[in-house]
This record gives sequence, C-alpha cells and structure tokens, in this order.
Amino acid sequence: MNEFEAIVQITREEYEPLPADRDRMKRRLAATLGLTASLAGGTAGAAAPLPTLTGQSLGALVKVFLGSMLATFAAGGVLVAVNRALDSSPNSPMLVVHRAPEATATTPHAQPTLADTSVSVAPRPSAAASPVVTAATGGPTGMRRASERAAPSALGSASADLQRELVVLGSARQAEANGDFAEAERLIAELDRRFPHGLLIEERAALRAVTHCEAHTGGAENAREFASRYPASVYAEKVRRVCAGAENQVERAAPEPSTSFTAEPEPGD
Amino acid sequence: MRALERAPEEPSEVPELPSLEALYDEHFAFVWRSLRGLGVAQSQLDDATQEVFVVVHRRGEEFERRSSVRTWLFAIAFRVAANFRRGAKRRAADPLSSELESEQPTPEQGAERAEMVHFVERVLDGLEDGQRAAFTACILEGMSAPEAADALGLNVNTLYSRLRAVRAKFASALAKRDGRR
Repeated sequence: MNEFEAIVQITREEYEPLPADRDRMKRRLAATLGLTASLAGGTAGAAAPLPTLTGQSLGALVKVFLGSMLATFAAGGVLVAVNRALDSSPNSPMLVVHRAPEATATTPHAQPTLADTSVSVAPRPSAAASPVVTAATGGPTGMRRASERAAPSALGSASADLQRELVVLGSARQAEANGDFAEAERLIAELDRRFPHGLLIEERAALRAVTHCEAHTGGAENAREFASRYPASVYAEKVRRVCAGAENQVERAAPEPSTSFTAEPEPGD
Repeated sequence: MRALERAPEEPSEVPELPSLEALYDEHFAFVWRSLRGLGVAQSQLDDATQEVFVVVHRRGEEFERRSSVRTWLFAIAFRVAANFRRGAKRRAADPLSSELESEQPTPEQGAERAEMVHFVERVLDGLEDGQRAAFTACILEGMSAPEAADALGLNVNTLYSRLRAVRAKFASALAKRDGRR
C-alpha cells in the first residue's frame, strides 16, 4: 500500500460514524419527521414505503417548532430534548412528546407523519401553576386540536411564551451561526431575563456554551456546567466538540494547562 | 404469431424505493462519510446528515430508478454539503470562526493518525469542489466512475480528469510535506 492509499484508508476510518452518531441521528430524525414508531427504533425491518412530506405537513413542521430557526442546532433534538424536564426548577414547564401507537403487523404503513403531530400545553402535575407543553400525535386534525387546546388563557399564554422564546432562541442561534457572537450573547441574556424558567433551557445552555467557546469568552466553564447538568443531552457531543476545538486553538496560541472538560490526554501522550 | 398475441409484458416490477428506515440503516454511514469528505465541518455534520435524510423523505417520489440509491443519495449529499460550505464561508469573516471550521485533531486521535487526517483535509480544502466530490465518491467511497459521474452530472471522462488532478495534487502535497521533514 503506498502512502496515498494509506492516508486515504486512515481518513476513511476516521470519517466512519460511531454507533452513538447513528443512534443519535436516528432519534433526531425520527423526532423531526414525526416518524416515531419506525425510525425511533421500534420496528427495525418494517419496510413501510417511503412517505413524502407534503406542503401541509411542512407547515405542520413549522407549527410544531421544528422549523428552520433551530434546524441547524436544536430542531432535531428539541422534541427529544424537551421531552425530558429541561429545567430542574419544579415550577418550570416542560414539553412532553406523546408517541403515536406503533404500527401493528396488520398496518405496517400506519406510521404517523408530521401532519399527525400536534403540540399542546398541559399543567405539570407537581406544579399546579406551571404549564406543561405536550406534543401529541393524532389524526389529521392534530394541529387544529392543538390550537383549540391552547385557547384557554393559561395554556395559551404558555404556548405563546414558548413561541416567543423560540423566536429569540432562533435569532440567537442565527447570530452564532453568522459569527456574531456578541449579538448571540446579548440575545441569550435577553432569554435569561425574559424567560428565566423557559422551556428551552437546555437548548439555551448548549448555545451559550458553544457561543462562549467560539468567542473564547469563558466557554469552558459553560461547557463543564452543561455537561454536568445535562449529561445525556443530545447537544452534549456538539458542545464537547466545539469547545474542545476552541480550547485546542487557545492552547496552541498560548500554551497553558488544559482546562478542557474533555481533553484528557491519552495515556502515553 | 402466438407470441405477438400475448399482451405486452408489463415492465418487470420496478424495485420499490426502500423505506426511510431501511435507507437510513443501510446508508447512514455512507451519507455521514460522504458529507465529511465533501467538506462539511464536524460541527455541522449532524445538521447536514439530517438535511440529507429530510430531503430523502420529502423527495422519495422523485427518485429516478435509473440510478442506484447510493448515486441518488450522493447527489443529495453533494448539494447539501455545498450549502453548508457556503454557510461556512459566510462565517469566514471572523477568523476565529473560520478556523473552527477546519477540523482540529481531537485528543482521542493518535497523533500520527490525526496528523494524516489533518493533512488530507488541508489538501481537500485546497481542491475545487468538483475535484473534492470526485475524490470523495471514487476514492473514499469506492463508487465506480460511471456511478460517480451520474451522481455529479458529469461525463465519465471529466470525472477521470478530475481524479487525475486530485492524485496529482496529493502527490505534490506529499512531496512538499516530505521535503519539509
């Protein structure tokens, strides 16, 4: 094997995804497309025909908060992530995804689509005053039912808050993607001020860590805090990767003892 | 004559496009690696991979069965990667940000392997998009020249020509690197 072939072989190996990548992406894709019964891992081998996403279901995609604003950072994971309690505060609301019933053997094509997915708001059992946002799958009228459920004032208010929070978070994400870290930090601070117990705390924390790491403004601390608070987060790997990369740069520029939360040297290094 | 009386045979069953899940299970790694090879930064890989499969989901009916699924997927990945690279270029106004897009070796990688991968990526970053796509399709992913040409909308001779250019650039970069040692 000549040197060219050797480096190609190594590159190929290095580009190979990890099993964790495969699983994470599968969950994320399932959440995004609403194909929970199949893609989320329950029915391996069930060969339903490839469904198509209609304009109507794309509209539903936006309505269930998986629109383009967070597509590059949080969209795929938002339903998965917020399905857990995002905020440890007992008064904070949370988003719950209701999985559609799995397709049975006699109805192998009965996977829910985005058009069947809805988002609603319901109270958190342990905190009467705090709403819980619930994403449910149902029939084609899912979105209509969601809007009807959101009509009562308390629930509607929580839903509107979520939308506002999402808009600001999306703007912050966009600013970060554009490299405008100061604007991203300003918007994150605005989120802290306006939505101290917001639904998207985990997404916000991840974005905060990534932004600070990219801006070299103390991101390692944020990254450590994020990893400690959300060890199973779908964003954990991304935060780790971005912050480790940023830290490597700082180290190359001015060698200092590593403060990276992941960059443990290999034995023998 | 008897044969003529028979109803014309239906074209033999067109193979169904597999389900999204089956496509994902079989081709996820291919899509992931291809996007890496096509220049999507590690930090953007999740988003780009997702976009490919969302397009697959949305455009399943547009799949032309004259080409293989892999060819179709690579063509989608190529377009998605181009979009992500354009986004990365927009971020290049910030030197820190642009540096982040070029992957740094992680501590988990052995130093020599990391150096090799970094070297390859530096060379790939210096290639034209079409050359990089040819390298990724044929050399990294082992696609046949006709298959890769189909995915990239090229004729085979153009593809071969790009592959030759890629090999020449690698040879030159290797020579330059070894000269520095």
